[in-house]
This record gives sequence, structure tokens and C-alpha cells, in this order.
Amino acid sequence: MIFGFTILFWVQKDNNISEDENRVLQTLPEFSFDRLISGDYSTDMNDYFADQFPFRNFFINAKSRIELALLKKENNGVVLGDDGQLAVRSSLNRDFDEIEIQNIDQFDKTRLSILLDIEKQFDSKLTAAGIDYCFVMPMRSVDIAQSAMPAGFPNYRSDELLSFVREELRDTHFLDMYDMFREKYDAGEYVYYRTDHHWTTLGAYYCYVEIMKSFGMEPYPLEAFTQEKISDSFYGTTWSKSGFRFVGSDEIYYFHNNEISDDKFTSIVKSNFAEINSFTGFYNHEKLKEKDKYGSFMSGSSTHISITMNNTEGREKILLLKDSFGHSVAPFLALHFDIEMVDLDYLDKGIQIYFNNYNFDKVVVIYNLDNVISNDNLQRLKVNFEK
Amino acid sequence: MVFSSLIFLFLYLAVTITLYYIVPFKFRNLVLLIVSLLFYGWGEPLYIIIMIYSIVVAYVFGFYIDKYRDTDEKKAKMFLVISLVLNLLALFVFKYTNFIFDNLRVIPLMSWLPDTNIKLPIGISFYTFQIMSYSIDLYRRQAKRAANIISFGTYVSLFPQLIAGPIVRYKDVDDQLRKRETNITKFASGVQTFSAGLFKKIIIADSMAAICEYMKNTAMYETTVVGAWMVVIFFTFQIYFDFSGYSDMAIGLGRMFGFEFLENFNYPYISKSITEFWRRWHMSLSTWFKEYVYIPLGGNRKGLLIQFRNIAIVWFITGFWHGASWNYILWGVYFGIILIIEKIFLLKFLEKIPKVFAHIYALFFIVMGWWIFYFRDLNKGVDFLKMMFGFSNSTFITGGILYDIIRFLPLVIIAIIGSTPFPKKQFKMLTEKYSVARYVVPVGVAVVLFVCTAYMVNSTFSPFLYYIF
Repeated sequence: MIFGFTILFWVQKDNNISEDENRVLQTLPEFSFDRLISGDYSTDMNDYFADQFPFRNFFINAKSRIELALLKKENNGVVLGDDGQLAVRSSLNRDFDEIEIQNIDQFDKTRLSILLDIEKQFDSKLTAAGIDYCFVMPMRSVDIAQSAMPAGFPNYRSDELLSFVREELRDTHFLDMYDMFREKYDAGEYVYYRTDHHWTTLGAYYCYVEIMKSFGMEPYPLEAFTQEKISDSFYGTTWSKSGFRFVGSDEIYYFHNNEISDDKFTSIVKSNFAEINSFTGFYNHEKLKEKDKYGSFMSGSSTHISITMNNTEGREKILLLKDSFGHSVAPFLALHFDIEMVDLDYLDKGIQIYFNNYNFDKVVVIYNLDNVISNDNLQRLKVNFEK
Repeated sequence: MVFSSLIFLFLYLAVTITLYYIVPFKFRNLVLLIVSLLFYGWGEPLYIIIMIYSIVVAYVFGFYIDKYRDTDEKKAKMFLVISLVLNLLALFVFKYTNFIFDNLRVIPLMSWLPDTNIKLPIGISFYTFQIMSYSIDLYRRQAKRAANIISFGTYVSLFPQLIAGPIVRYKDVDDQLRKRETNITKFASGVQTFSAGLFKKIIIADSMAAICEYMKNTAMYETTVVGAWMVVIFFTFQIYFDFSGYSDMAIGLGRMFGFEFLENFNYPYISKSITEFWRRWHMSLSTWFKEYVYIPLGGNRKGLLIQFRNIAIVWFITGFWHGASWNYILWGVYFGIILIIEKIFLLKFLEKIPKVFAHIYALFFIVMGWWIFYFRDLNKGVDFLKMMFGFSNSTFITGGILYDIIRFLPLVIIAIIGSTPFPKKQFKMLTEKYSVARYVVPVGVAVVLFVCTAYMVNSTFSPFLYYIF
């Protein structure tokens, strides 16, 4: 058996990219005496062997099944809940032989407090400047899908985190949608994907409704949209991470407004405020052919995208500071506003320049809870209005 | 290179076995030497030089020890001492310099000492001790001089036991280096032992390691008595299955090439006393210390007080051998003290009480020993100790911890059963009783290899959750 695999390894063609893992795989490393001495060659060779191993995906699936057979209820830090609902529970960082495993509910209260303080100051500054503001922090699958988690699962940890956040952000423009989403999920609505950490288009719609209500404006009702199923074979990020290859796929919908068609809008990808690319509407259908189908919303992440309605002047302008959760909300907001959509993760020069270049009527921040507790990008929410 | 890696199993081992069996008998040691050096150099290209230095020193001096041991004992002893000093020097420089300097630097007079950061060459603790056993066994006339430097080099660098033991004394393999028999039964037995070891390491030890790490992080966030204990208990399992798994792999690989190495572990966790524990745990190390330190110091033949002194010395060194850090020394001394107490009166007492209490006593002190071993940072260790005994505002248990413990229960049960002789006895009985076992066992081995491969492939699987570049 061992000999069989050895031969198979050398015979089969190398893969360059693993779609499932979203990274480039190691190919046959270059040999040189220097690299041999320094140890680089052997490290790369180890990686090469691992990455190009025959039937890699089959083995990954097998291992996940074995872990389930051992009643561990999760694999690679992802919990397998009812009806194929996957939820990330812990993250694993591997550094040679060192493993660092972190439960996603472990958060540093002091650090989180500091970040939320920065957000609150941002809130005050905008309010003082007369700009409408709304802070949206979408929850994680493990928070929303509590009812699908295995018996005894410590849901109280996620409740504690949410209580902490609610307490910190009391009397601010924080949009608390946690209870609403949980109720809808429990009622059977398809608001979060099962195999991906994002919310579905329906979930994004509900978020849009809340944002509009917070601005005292009227959102389009659900009936005003035609829901087009553009894929029923979406396997998302949590599916990749979990190794549970046998779990059922998700469906992706685009919501098209019945009165205003998508092609009345133009999305312009900008760099340093100059256009580098543009497309009609909100979706990149090419991305549907790849594994990460969610990337078809707004064509995935770019630092700055402007969305305008063709031949229409005088609409209000919104600054949407976001992570990928904002991509499925933007098409709804675009029905009412011109949007400057800026990615909080890819920003390199701070957000002040956007305020200097545009006059915003409203600002919306959509930044996922997982991002908030695992990185410091929320501290980029700094602006100065003194002229 | 590591045994529990895909490249070892599916490339290196396949090629090595092929080469070994193609080549005629007289070249087999050479083949082993070359592949072993390649194995070692794969991970540490430059440190191979240190090992070669040690091999050459011991071989050359061994020649002179052999020459004079019957004629001029004083000269022979001189060569022995020089050889040992030169070998130990390498070990000390590379393993203990950082530690010694760090501790000396605290004294104001010595604050000029540089902050060294010498990296530890893998396996140096093991092969240095093996080399020393050659010199000493030769001097004591318990072994013949190595046939040639290839044979000696093979002994030292043999890849099965180079990295993590068992520590093979020269006199135990002297004959086997000159002549050893290989046949299909031995080879198959070696494969079985190797697979069992691989299973122990990958399925049990690595899982325990991940769980231990996870529980440790959780304990910082949710301090509970049970959670803190779980960290130490899971580590107790981890280290046994890791180490004994590696030893099994080493013994299995050795047998595949015709070598019989001595067992290194004999179900240490069924012990009823610490004395018994150390006769079952890492036996090759305790044997080495007994033969080469304890007995030369007088052992127990010079009265009780000297015996205690000898025990104290041996255990200090044992702890220190495990690592250049105070907690390892403490670990050694800890066991030394318990052993002395047992020798004075406790052993007799333990024999009189029901066995189950003796087990509990032994397991408690074994687990506490691992607590010392695991926390290299003594401050953190003390924090955990407080958690374990309820002194730090910790609750007893939380729902989350209970959920996790229940999840790990099947694995824990497997680990407990695996720590006893039960599986092996059953295996022996079944294979002797049923001739159909001849067909079932290879299938079983294939299944084990399949499962281990799946786990190994998964551990190289590292999805990057959000974006490509």
C-alpha cells in the first residue's frame, strides 16, 4: 500500500491552487546546494509532499468522519449542527510543531472595550457633524444558529459576549439585530448560510430593513423583489475549513427589485480615487464558476467601490465602511443612495481622505463580530471634522 | 525528518527498505548509515557535523581503550575519560550554555556574559548517551571494539532511535551490527509494531496535545477546577502516547531491518508506586543511569545514607537531562524525594493497603509530576495549581467545560484502555487461537495506516479563511 501511494504521488500531475483551501499549493521545489544547507529545500519538499498527496480531499473527508465517529461533534474547530449547519467554534494556528488553538468566544475584555470606545467616539463625531450614522455588527453562525448546536453546547458564552457588547454600546447608534436574527433562524428562515460564515441575501435584506428604519426611511418590502436562485451548489468557507465534505450545499439568491433593474447601476472600482475597473449592476457572474460563490456579490473585496445610479443626480451619499458582509447589503442600499463602499480590512491610508473627498449624508459601518474580536481594524474609525 | 509525516512514510521509508533489501549483506550497514545521515540532515543540515565529530572522537578513542584495557588499565582509563569529556562537552555546549549563562548572569560580577541563543541539535541527548555507553562498555570489557567506523557510525546514527530513543547500549547491539537475521515474519512483526506506534502518536497523542492546548486557553477565560485538572490529565496521556508511540515506531523500524531493540515502556500508568513507575517508564534511560552513574557511585551497597545521596544525584541529573530549565530539574528532584521516602517506609505500607489505593496514590503523584514538567514557566504553573485546588476564584465546572469533556470521553476511554496491557494480551490470545488471524492482521494494519494517513493529510490542511493574497 505504501509503495502504491509513493508511485502514485510522482505520477499524478501537480495542482497549483487549492480552491478548497483558498491558497496556492507548494509545487516541486527548486534544488540548490545552498537551499539544502539552509534547510529551505527540505522544508519546501515536506510541504510539496503534503500538498500534492494523492486523494488529498478524500483523506480530509475521511478524517472528519472518523472524528465524528469518535463523537467529537466537530472537526478542525467547526461544529456540525442540525441539518448540516456548520459553525466555527475555534481557530487553529499552526507554527511548525506549535499549535495554538483559540476558542472564538475567548475575547480580551479590555481590548474589546478600547475598540468599542473608538467606535463610540466616531459615532459622536459624526452625530455632532450632523451625519446620520449606523453601526452594524453582524453576528457569527455560532451566535445565530444556537438552536442547531449539539446538546449541551455552551451557548451561554456567546450570550455573554453579546451582553458585554450591548452594555458597552448602550445609547449609541449600534443596531442590535441579534434577537431578531435568532428568532428568524429558529423559525426556519434561511438567514445565514449553512456552509459559509456569511448571512444569506435574505439575511442581508433584513439588515437593510433595520438600517433604513434607523434612518427613519421606508425600505422596500420583500414583495418588491424577485428572488432569483443563481446557484444551488455553493460550498462556503466553513465547509472548506471543516473537512466535512459530505454536508449539503447552500443556495444563493439575488434579489432583483421589480421596479428598478440592476443595470441602471454602475459599480466603479477605484484606486487612489481613479477608476481602474467598472461593471454594470452589483454582481460578477464569473465568480459563480469558482468555489467562493459569495464573491460574486460586488465582485468580492476591493478597497474602494463607488456605486451610482445612471443619469441620476441629487441622491444622498452614503459611506459604507465594511467587511465582506457588506457586499450583499450594498445592492439594497444602492436603491436609495449613492454609495462609496470602503473596505476596513484593505484600507491603507485611513478613512479621513474619504471624508475629505466627498460629502456624506450618512455613514454605515458593517463589520462582523468575529473580525471585531480578532483584529484591531475597528480603530481605523477615526475622523476629524475641523476644517 | 519526523516518523509521523507523509514524506517519511511514503518516500523515505519506501526507498530505504528497497535499497536495504536489494543490497548484499555486507553493504547493509553502509546503506543504513547513509540513509540515517540523510534522515538527520534533512532537518538539521549543519548539525550533522557535531554528530560526526562525536562519532569520530568516540571511535578513535575506543580504539585506544580497547588496545590498553587488558595491558595498561591506567592508560585505558585515561582514554575513556578524555573520550567521555569530549562527548559531554558537545552536549553541554549545545544544550546547557544558554541555561548556565542565563543563570550566572544574574550575579552582578557575571553580567557581562553574552545572551546566547544556541539552538539545540535534535537527538543530541540520545546519541551522546549512546556513544558514551560504547566507550564505557568497551572499557568494562562488556563489548568488543566496533568492527569499523561504518558499523559504529550506524550504531550511533541509526535513524529509528536517533531522535527519540530508546537509548540502545552498545553491548546490546554489538552482535547484531555484525550479523543479523532478516525474514518475512520479523519484517511483518516490525510493521505491526510500527503501525501501533504510529496510531498511538497520531490518533491519540496528537489529539490529546490539541485538546490540552485548547483546555489551557479555555482555562484562562473560564477558570474552573475541573478544566485545570483536565489540562494536566490530557498532558499525562499526551506524553505517554507520544513517547511510547515513538519508541514503538523505533522498535518496529529496527525489527524491519533485523535489529531487536529492548522495550522502552512497560505500561507505566498501571504502577502501584513511583518506584514501580520508574521501572516501567523510559526504561532505557533509567537503565543507563543505573548502569553508568548509580552503580559506579556505589548503588545501594554502601549503606543507606550513601544510597540516598546516590539517588539524589541520579535524579538531579535525570531531571536536568530532560531539558535545560529549572522545572525539569525540579521534576527530577521531586521524584528523587518520593523515591527516597518510598524506600524508607512507604513501599512496605503500600504493599499492605488495597491495590486500588496504591494505584490512586501512584497516579496522583505521576500526574502532579507532569504538572511540574508541563509548565516551564513556573509562574503559570503556580497559577494553574491554584486553579486545580480551588484557590483562585474558580468555579468547579461550567457547562462549556462539561460539554467538551463529554465530547472527549470516547478518546479518553481509548487512551485509558491503551495504557493497560489488555489490548496486547487480547491481540496475542486471538492471534494464537485463530489461524484466520494471518489474514485479518494485515488488513487491520492497512486500516490503521489508512486512518493515520488521513490524519496526517488533514494536519497539512490549512485553509485561509478569507482571501487569497
